[in-house]
Amino acid sequence: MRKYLHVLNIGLQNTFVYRWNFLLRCLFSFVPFLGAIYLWGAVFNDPGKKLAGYDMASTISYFLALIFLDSVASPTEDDFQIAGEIRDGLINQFLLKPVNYFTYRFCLFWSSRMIYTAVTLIPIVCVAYLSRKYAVFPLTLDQWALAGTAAFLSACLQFGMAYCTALLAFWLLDISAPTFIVFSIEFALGGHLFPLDMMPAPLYQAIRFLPFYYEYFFPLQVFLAKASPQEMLQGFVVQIFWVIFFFVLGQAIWRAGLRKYTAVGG
Amino acid sequence: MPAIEVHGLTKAFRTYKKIPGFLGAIRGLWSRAYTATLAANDVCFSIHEGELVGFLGPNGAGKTTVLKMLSGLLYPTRGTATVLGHIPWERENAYRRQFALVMGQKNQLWWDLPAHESFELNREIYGIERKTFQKKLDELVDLLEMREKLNVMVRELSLGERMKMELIAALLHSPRVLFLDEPTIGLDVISQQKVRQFIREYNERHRVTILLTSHYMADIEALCDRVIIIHQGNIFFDGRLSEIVNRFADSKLIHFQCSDEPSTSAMERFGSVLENISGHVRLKVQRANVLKVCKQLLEEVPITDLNIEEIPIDDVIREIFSQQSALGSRKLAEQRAQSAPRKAGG
Repeated sequence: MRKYLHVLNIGLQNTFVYRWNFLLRCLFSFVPFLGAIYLWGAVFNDPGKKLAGYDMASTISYFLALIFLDSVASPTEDDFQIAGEIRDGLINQFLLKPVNYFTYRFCLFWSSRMIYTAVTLIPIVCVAYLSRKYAVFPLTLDQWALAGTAAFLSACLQFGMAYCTALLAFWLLDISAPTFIVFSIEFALGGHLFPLDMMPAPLYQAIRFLPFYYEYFFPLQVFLAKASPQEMLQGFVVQIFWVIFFFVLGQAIWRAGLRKYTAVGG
Repeated sequence: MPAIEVHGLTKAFRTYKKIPGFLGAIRGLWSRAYTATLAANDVCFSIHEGELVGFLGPNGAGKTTVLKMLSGLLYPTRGTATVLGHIPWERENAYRRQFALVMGQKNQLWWDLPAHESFELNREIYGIERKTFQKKLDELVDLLEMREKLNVMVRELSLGERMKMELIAALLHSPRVLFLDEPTIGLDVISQQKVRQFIREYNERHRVTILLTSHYMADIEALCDRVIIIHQGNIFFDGRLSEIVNRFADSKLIHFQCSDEPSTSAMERFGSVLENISGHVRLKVQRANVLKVCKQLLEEVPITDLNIEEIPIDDVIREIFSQQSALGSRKLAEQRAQSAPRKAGG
C-alpha cells in the first residue's frame, strides 16, 4: 500500500512542474461556464421565468457545481498518457516490477484531481460568493457527505471509463477517435450541455440507466439536493454498479491487451 | 545450477505485408497477407551465476527478442527458459524482485523530476529498507560519480548521465540477474568507457549474472570473456571471445616498413594488399602461409620493421555477418519461391 501512496506523492510533485499549464487550464475551465451563463441569461430574459422546472438561479447553481465536479472528478490527460505508455512500450517497466499498473494510474489520477480541485476552489468560492443571490448549495453536513460520496464515485467511474478507452491502444495506434466519441456522448448525455431533466420524460428515464448520467448529472442532483431519498438510493446502487462494471472491464481488457502485447500464442 | 537456462526458445512474429500505394492500403482493410518471421529460432544456452556474457548480432538478429522473453515481456512460440529457477513469462513477483532489464533506448525515470525521486519510488515498489537503500544508493552513486546530479531534473541530464541514472535505478533492489540491452548506445567515448568500467566493477564485486547486448565491439571486448553470437534468430557461436578469431579468421595481418617504396603489384604475390603508403605495407595472408611469407619477405624486400597481428575481432565478426546474410538471403529467396505468402482475413 505504501508504494501507491508514494506514487500519489510523486504524481503531485510532477503536476507542480507544469504549474502554468494547470493554472491556465483551471482558469479557462470557467469559459464554458461564462458561455452557459450568457446563454441561459438570454433564455430566462425576464426574472421569474421558468423552463422545465429551472430558473436563472438554479441554472447558475447547476453550471457552477458542474465546473467544480469537473475538476474533482474528470481525468485530464490520463487516457492519452496511458495510451502513450502502451504505444511507446513504457509499460514494460510496470511488467518488470512488482507493481500493479491500474492502481499505479489510479493514484496518479487522484494526485492530479487533488491539485486541480485545490486550484479551482479559489475562483469557485469567488464566483459562488458573487452569485450568492442565485446559488443554492447544500446546507447540512449530511448533504455534503452524500454529495461528496457521489462525486467520489463519479471520479472512479470516469477514471474507469477513461482507462478502458485508453487500453484500446493495445490494438489501435491512435485512440483519439474512440476518446472523442466517448467524450461527445458524455457531453450530451452526462448533462454538460443542459440539465438532463429538461429532456422529455421517456428519454430521461432511459438515460438514467446509462453510465454517463452517473458521471455528472447524478452527483449534481445530489449536490443540489434535487434527488429524493428513494432516487438517491437507487442512483447510488446504479452508480456503484457502473464503477464495478468498468473496473472489471478494465481488468479484462488489460489481460486481453497484454496477451496481444506479449504475443501469447502469436 | 545455471542462473539462466534456455532450451529451444523460438519466437515467430506474424507481420502484415502491406501492398504498396493507396489501393494497397484499401485492400489491406479486408484482405491481408502475413508472413511469419522467426525472430529467435531454437535458441539454446546456459549461463552460470556471476558470468558476464556478451550477446552479439547485427540489427534485427533477435537479441532483444531473446532478452524480452527472458524478462517476461514476450511469450515464446516454443521452447523453455528458466532464470533463477523461475519461468520468466509467468511474471511472478518473486522473480521480478530478482532481476532488472535496462534498455539503452528506453527511459524509465520520471522525466520532469530529479532522478532521486524515481529512486525513492523504486524503494517503495521493491520494499527496500531505508538503511539498505541508502547504503546501496551511496555505493552506486560513488561508483558512477553521480552524487552532484541526484537532484537535477532528469530532462536536464546529458545522455550519458541519464544512462548512469538508469543503471542506478535498475540496481537499487540488488538484482541477481541483469539484462543490459545496448547500455552504451549513443554515448560519447568517455561515457561509454565509464559505463563499461562500472559494469565490470559491479559484476566483480557482486557476482551478478549479466547478459549484455551491444553494437560496440569495444564493449564486448572490454567486458565479456564469453560471447554468444546470434544471427537471423539462430545461434551460431557460443564460446570464448578469443576462439572466434581462431575459428573464423583464416588469415593474419603482416605489417612492415620498407626502406624503399615497393609496387603494389610486386607485393600481391605474397598476399592481398590492404595498404601500401610510402613504404608502409599491410598484407592479409593465409594463416598457414604466414611463416613462409615472412621468410620470403625478409629475403626479398628491404624491411626495416615487421609485425604479425590477428585480424581485429570487429572485422572478423563483420565478415561473418556479411557472409551469413548473403547465405541467409539466398535461403530466404529459395523459401519464398517455394511457398507463396499465406493469406488471412481481418
